[in-house]
Amino acid sequence: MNKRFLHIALAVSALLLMCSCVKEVEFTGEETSPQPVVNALVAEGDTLCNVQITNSMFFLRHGTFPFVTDAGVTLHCNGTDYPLALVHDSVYTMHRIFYAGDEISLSATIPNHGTLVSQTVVVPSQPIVVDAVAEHNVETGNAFLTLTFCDNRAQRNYYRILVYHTAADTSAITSENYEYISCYDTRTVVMDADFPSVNLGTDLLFSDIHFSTDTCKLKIDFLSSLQLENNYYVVFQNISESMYKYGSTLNSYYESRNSPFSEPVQVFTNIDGGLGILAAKAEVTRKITIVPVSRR
Amino acid sequence: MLFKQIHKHRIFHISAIVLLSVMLLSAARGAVEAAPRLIHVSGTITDATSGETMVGATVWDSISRKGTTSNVYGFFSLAVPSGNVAIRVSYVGYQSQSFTFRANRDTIINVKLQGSLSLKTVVITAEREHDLKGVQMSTVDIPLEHIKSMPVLFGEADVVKTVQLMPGVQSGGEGTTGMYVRGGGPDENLYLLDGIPMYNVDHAFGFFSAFNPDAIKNITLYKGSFPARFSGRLSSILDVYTNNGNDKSYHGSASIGAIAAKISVEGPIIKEKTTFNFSARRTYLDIFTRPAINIISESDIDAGYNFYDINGKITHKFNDRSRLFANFYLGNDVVSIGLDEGSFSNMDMRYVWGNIVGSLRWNYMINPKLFSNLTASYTRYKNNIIFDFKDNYGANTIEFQYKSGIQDLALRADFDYLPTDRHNIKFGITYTFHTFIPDVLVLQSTDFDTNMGAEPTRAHELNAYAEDNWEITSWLKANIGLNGTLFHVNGTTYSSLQPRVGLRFLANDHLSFKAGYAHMTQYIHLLSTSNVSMPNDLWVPATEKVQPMTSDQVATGAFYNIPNVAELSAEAYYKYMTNLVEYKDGASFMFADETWDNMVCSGNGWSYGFELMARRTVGKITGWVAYTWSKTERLFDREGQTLNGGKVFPAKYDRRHDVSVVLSYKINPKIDLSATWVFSTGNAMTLGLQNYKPLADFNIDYLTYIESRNNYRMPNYHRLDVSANFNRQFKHGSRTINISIYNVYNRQNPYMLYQNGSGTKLKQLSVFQLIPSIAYTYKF
Repeated sequence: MNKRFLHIALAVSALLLMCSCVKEVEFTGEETSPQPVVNALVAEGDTLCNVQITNSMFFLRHGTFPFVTDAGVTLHCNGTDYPLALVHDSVYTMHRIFYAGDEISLSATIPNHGTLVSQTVVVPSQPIVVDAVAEHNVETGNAFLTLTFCDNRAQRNYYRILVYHTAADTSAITSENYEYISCYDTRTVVMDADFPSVNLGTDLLFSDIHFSTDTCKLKIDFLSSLQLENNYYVVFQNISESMYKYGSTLNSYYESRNSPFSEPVQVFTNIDGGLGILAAKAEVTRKITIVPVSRR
Repeated sequence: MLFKQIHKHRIFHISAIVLLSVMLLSAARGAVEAAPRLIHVSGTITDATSGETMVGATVWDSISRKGTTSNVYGFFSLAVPSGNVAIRVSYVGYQSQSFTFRANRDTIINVKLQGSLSLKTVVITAEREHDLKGVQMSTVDIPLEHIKSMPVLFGEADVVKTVQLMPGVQSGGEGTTGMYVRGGGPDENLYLLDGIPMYNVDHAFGFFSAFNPDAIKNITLYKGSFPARFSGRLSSILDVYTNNGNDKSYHGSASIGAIAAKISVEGPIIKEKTTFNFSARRTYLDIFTRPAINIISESDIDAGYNFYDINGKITHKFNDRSRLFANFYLGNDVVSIGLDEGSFSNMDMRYVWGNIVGSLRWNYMINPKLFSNLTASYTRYKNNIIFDFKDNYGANTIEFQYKSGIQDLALRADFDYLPTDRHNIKFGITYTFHTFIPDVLVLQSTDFDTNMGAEPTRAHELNAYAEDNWEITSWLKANIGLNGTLFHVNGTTYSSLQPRVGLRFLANDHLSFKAGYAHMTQYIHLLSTSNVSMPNDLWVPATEKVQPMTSDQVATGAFYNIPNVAELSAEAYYKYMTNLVEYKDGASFMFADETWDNMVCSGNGWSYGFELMARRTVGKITGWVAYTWSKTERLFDREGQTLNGGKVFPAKYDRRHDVSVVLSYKINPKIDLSATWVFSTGNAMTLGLQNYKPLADFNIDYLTYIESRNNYRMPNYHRLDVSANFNRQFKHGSRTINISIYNVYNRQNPYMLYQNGSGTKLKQLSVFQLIPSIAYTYKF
């Protein structure tokens, strides 16, 4: 009893000595003016292009980001201008099929802000996934996904991988020629049991700078408790360099956002005169083949 | 740009060679012309009671009106005309001694000064003339008596926190020991313990420094106008010397404070020949934290934290000309966590970081004109994380080790040469073998066994210097020097010539003006991703991608002594720094898949400001008032290495105003009171002021737009600390009870500001509010 009392007294003393307090203080700086934000994603083979334009909001206010509904938005593609129409909220739309290599320029004229511009190139082609096999350790439940894909060595390619489970199926191809990297760090793909939404931290971004052959192999620590009754899928995206930079800095931003000791990260933007991203991607989805393995 | 750099280097080389030539020719000429008329009075100045050598004691010949000060080993040499000599030796807090004699040849006198306190007087009458008449500017002697009597946090007197109260020095944050000197970063300070570099001087993540005040004899801070004998860092040198030990009788002290206990013992091994001095300190934070963690976690966690340091020194006096010193320091911080979940698993983690410093030094007075100092040293900083996990159910084990650190082996030779009464030449050479262990990760388990991380990097550094303290006329004195360094790492050799100039114009016996210039080069960088001192901050060498840092600093100042009242000083400086290193946005070195030099970017910085100081060292009330106005900015605009969009931004510790007031009042020999008040402009921090919508393809609620780095100011910082020392003399010793109150008016200073998710105000975290503490010391 006495020992217990002594420990409590020591603990209380320690807490008192190391006491700290948190209190609310007023923001004493000047409130900065809102920035226009353009977010657009062009997908190869898609027939629709959506551009959303909003305003940023002072960080101590909360609610929906203000819509910009009076912008003049034009998409310039291969020498032709395509005006975009406001369809709902702050989303502007146009219809056209985008092909690999299309050079796109976007301009948005916003009253009181001037004209925002951005350029991108529709990524060369859909990526080719040769094989997606997961070795499932039946004792531990761990699963490693081995993904084999073709890489066009003619130019630098940027990739993004997402994993989910749902009810779809595809065939598989094998290849002998591969290189291999393992991803154990924060970029490790860990699937959310209640997919289909993509959560930050579930996507793996990388460039083909890690590979030197046409057919590449990637090993991913993808799940700690795989459920055999589920079907697992991998979404493999070939993305524009801008989208890669945006995603990379966004990951860094997210990691540092709640760390008081980290220097805050500015997320990449390719919008001149504003914030946001004009991104491009081409993607393919493959079912993951599960191969149970046992050490015994 | 390249031409400019080449041109700049040429100018440096030419100017450096010219300076050195002028200096050597002048010294040689002086030696030839003046030597026959001069004799040298030399010797060692010691404390009469303890036999401890005294640093910076003034030696003045009133006939020739020439003077000098004792060096860090208590040695002095003064060239005077042969004939009558009237030497007066004085030191703050000691009774002066005078010697009048006739000398026609070189003479050795060893002086033993009696301390004022032992003479039962409480009023100190000697004044320091060093700041006024010496060439050196931007230098502060840290008064040890203040360090021990000042109000302290948790009853732990701290050297670095006292240094932070000097003008031009800023602290990193509440209660921490990080030093930011004239716009430089914490890695730009060279900490020397008995002349040997120490790479990490922090305990407890920077809340306490590694210097145990009980072991220290002398501390000097150089902020600019660096003498040529110093090199290796851009912004400051903190030169700390430890006690040799009493050569007559055994003495010691033991003290117990709020978080640590200390013991110190000194005495003769062979009377008046061989002495030892040993000090040790250990915290008992783990005694508090273990039960606290047990109660809070409500589980079987055994966790604790402590730090300790040990200082040892043995000094052997062969004769009046020759002494040998063996120094040793060991200090570690230890975090241990053990978790036992019975039959399921158990986990042990041990996190240890700290320094070892050892040296062997031989002082030898070759003749009264030439004093030599040969040193062999070893210094090492290491940071180890060891993690063991055992899953009893599946019989899986994982052992994880993370190691980083740096170690140096060095050989050094220094000489003091006094050819004439007008020249005091110092020269020397140092070879250092560096080993950098940037980060090594060892993973072993039932499934894998792998080593990751960078291989150790080895570097060779050769450094030579020469400087002349030259009395050109009675009113004009100069310190001209040159430091040259070769640094070889990974097949690349870097070289630098670093000219140094200091000038002193003595207007009258009370007023002097000084000016100085120093070019510094730093070949190692400290990588840190955090605002606080973390043990896993990495020391790395310059590489082809990350070039050595350089600085050019000019400073000017005026120094005025009001006799028996105060010393006043005003200094202004401008410093330009190149190749400064910062992490790229969001980069972190630990577990990274890139080498460190791909994760950092290089840029430039500059700082300018002025510093005022009024200091009183005599009388019952002593202390100082210091004010600093400064501005520090950074520009990272090199291709592929931009920060803040390539625009100028304030440095993290850019502060416009810093004020410190330190006062001690000795009521009588039994009681003395001290108070410290500090004020500083709030720290700069980066705050994103606009939130915006991300691309829907990435599932994140919002992003924050950061207009500029360090764009927001925290509230101003101010704090008052008070303390009282109650002294009592016993037959065989004395005791002191120190009662301190940190942050008397309970100011909630900002340690950190952040936004609370849905709040409309900022949240401010404050640490160390009103903290009383008590420490008991017994000396015998």
